[in-house]
Amino acid sequence: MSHTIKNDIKLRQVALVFLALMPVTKVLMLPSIVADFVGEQIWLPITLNLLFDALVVFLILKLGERYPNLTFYEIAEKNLGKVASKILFFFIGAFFFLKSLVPILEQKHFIDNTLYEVFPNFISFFPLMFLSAYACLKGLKVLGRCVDICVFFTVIGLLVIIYFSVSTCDITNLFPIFQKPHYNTVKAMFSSVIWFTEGAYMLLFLGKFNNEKNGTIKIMTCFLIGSVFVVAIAVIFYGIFGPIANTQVFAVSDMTIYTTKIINIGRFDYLAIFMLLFSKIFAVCLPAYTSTKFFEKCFSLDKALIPALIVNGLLLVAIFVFKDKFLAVLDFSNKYLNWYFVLMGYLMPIVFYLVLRRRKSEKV
Amino acid sequence: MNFERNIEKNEKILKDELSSDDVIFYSFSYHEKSCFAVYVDSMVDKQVLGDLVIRSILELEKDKTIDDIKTTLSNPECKTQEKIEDAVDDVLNGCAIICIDGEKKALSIDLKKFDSRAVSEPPTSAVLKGPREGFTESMKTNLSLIRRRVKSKDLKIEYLTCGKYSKTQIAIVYVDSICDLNIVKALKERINSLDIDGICDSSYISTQIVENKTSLFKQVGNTEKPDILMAKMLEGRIGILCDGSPIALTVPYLLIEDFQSSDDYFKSYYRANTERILRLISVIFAIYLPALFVSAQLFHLQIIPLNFLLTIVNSIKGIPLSPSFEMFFTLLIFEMLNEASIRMPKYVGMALSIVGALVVGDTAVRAGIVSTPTIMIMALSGICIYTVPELVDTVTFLRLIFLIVAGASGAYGILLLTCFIVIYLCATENFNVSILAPFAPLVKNDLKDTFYMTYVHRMDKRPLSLKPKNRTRRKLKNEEGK
Repeated sequence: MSHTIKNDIKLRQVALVFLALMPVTKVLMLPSIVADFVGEQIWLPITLNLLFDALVVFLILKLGERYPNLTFYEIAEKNLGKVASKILFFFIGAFFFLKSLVPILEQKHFIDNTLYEVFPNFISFFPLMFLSAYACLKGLKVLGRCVDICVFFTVIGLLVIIYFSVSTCDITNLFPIFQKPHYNTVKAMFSSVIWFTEGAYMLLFLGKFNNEKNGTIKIMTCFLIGSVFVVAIAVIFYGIFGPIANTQVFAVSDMTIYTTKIINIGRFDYLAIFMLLFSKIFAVCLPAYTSTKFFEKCFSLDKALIPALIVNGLLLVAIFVFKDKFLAVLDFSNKYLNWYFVLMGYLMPIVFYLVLRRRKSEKV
Repeated sequence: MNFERNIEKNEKILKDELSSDDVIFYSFSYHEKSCFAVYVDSMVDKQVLGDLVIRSILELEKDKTIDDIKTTLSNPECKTQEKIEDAVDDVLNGCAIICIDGEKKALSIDLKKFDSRAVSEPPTSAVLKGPREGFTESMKTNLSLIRRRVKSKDLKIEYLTCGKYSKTQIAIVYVDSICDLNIVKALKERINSLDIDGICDSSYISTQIVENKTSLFKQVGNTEKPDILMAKMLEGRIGILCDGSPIALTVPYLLIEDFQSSDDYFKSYYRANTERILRLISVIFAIYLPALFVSAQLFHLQIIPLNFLLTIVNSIKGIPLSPSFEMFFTLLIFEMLNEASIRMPKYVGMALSIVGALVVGDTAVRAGIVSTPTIMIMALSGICIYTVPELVDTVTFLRLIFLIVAGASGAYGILLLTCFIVIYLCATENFNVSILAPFAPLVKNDLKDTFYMTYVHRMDKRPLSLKPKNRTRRKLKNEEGK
């Protein structure tokens, strides 16, 4: 068991994952879906889900402090034994596989409906999975470098969208606050959980970076900034559309549509949308990447080639089967999969941390 | 095989080894001993050989040993060789070998004399401001140009030989108190491990010493100017000079280097920054503009502003080719004209301009084969590509690939291909330095000299991406000089 710091990815790059990749997955359909449940209270379920995510990130970082320089795989093997840890890796791998499915279909849905007047042959969407498989074969070092680049695109893209849309936002649409029943908030949180549970990415990074001084603060700060972007987009979105927000499917492309600047110079905002889509492609590849790595560990494979091909091949088949069934997939996920997301994305890391903490305290 | 005391045997062996008409065997006697000189006719300064070497030997009063003769000759590049193989190598490198009967050694005197081009401004790196000297094909001239600029004992030059037949001399040049010596070691190992017939140009080395030999992107920097090489060495890079080539190579290479021009540092801060941003925009235009135009026409008409859309619609009315094929066809013609203009004699150039401008440009539009916006976009892309001449090869290829992808799947395909290239670039590193540094990995200090360039006096640290031994380039002083 290795006890040296791998330093495959840098602390800054881990932190930037939550600023560069986390917000872009939550600005397409999430605002309108949450608005459908809670209307003007749109910010509340999103904030609560983000808080859960932040808690998971924080606890995994604390776990890393308790087991310095050990990866999650090593910690799990040390505490659960080989067989149990492999079973756990399989379930985590499956969780990330399922987690990548909805964003891919969402992206396809967005591209079909928003970007293309005439959509090319469906096959042209397939290269995404080849790209994802290619990314899965690369190490965390390459992923970290990609994140360094994506952060420019995400931040500039989001700022441009906010700048173009904030002038048409009517903040009174968000009042009165706390009028909707709590049940609606919980239901909105549950229904949108598939877009969250991203704190679990920390399981992949644990022990792979040098957690220097104030590392936790740096990561949590980036998470906070990313969260502020997500909540801001949702709030502005509801501020623009008010009660009809739930009928506007794609937030980022609909928010900027009324800006006078755009009328004068064409859909200039599409540049920002393309910037966000650029980061979104990496964000979509990340769960597939994580899934590949967990399956690789689960089956003790030397190379990521086989799990990468299987994961991305299955995703390719899934896209083909569900190409026009995005809403049905979402419905199915709400009924059957969201519990699994809550279990693996929130409960498992929290319970894992608490159990190990208790076990270590008992040993001491 | 060692030299023997019998001169006839030595002469026979050397004649067998160097059986070529341009290898001269000149016999003479010295104090009744038979001697001979052997040299390559076209490589040796015969006047110096006769006046300063052979005459000096003949004028010696006593019968001296070969070691004594070596000390009396007024040539600093004089050594003795015991092995015939070494002597043969010396002859082929421009030395004259002198054998004396009864001696088990031969005298090897470096008397190289070649005709070489004068130092002039390289056509690919012309500047408005700044030094205009360029490297030539002579290694000695090139080294003197560097030595003249870096008068430090820390400047190290190490010679290597490469090429089974060409035996080309290669010089590794670096400032040992600045650069990472691990890179020097790795570089020497890579050059020594090359198994190649000959080195025609330094480009042969640049493609062989990289980790990913099939990469689309270059991984070794190059320059034809000594001032640029000096600046790069002072940042922690290592220079590679190759005899017979006017192009010096530099490692480690960062992609951003190609967006930097030597005169950026001699111009006003504002002008330099404007030009750098223009270069970036130009490269983006060169790669993406034809592809975006095609994809916008085919799939994303809503992106184009209405007035512009009407103009396009009017101009493409009646064009028989699809937008992607039309652009591809125009691109093909442009590349053909470009290729022909490089290869054809200058006096035919005028005819080519007429054919290019009138036949392809004007007539094709009038005939309704291609539209005016397509010609305009192709011309713009073609001009933009030459703002960063070092990237022409890569950008030309990328432009073509993007065009094909845009025609097949529109903007999303362009995005996917961009992501693929980003991952590919992020994974490309040479000598453990990512070519995308200082952007990926992000190195805050090095961002001072990228697409935005800070004032030269504020660049106090060397680029940390290059892992220099000595990081401080200049010590910042306050107004009181502290």
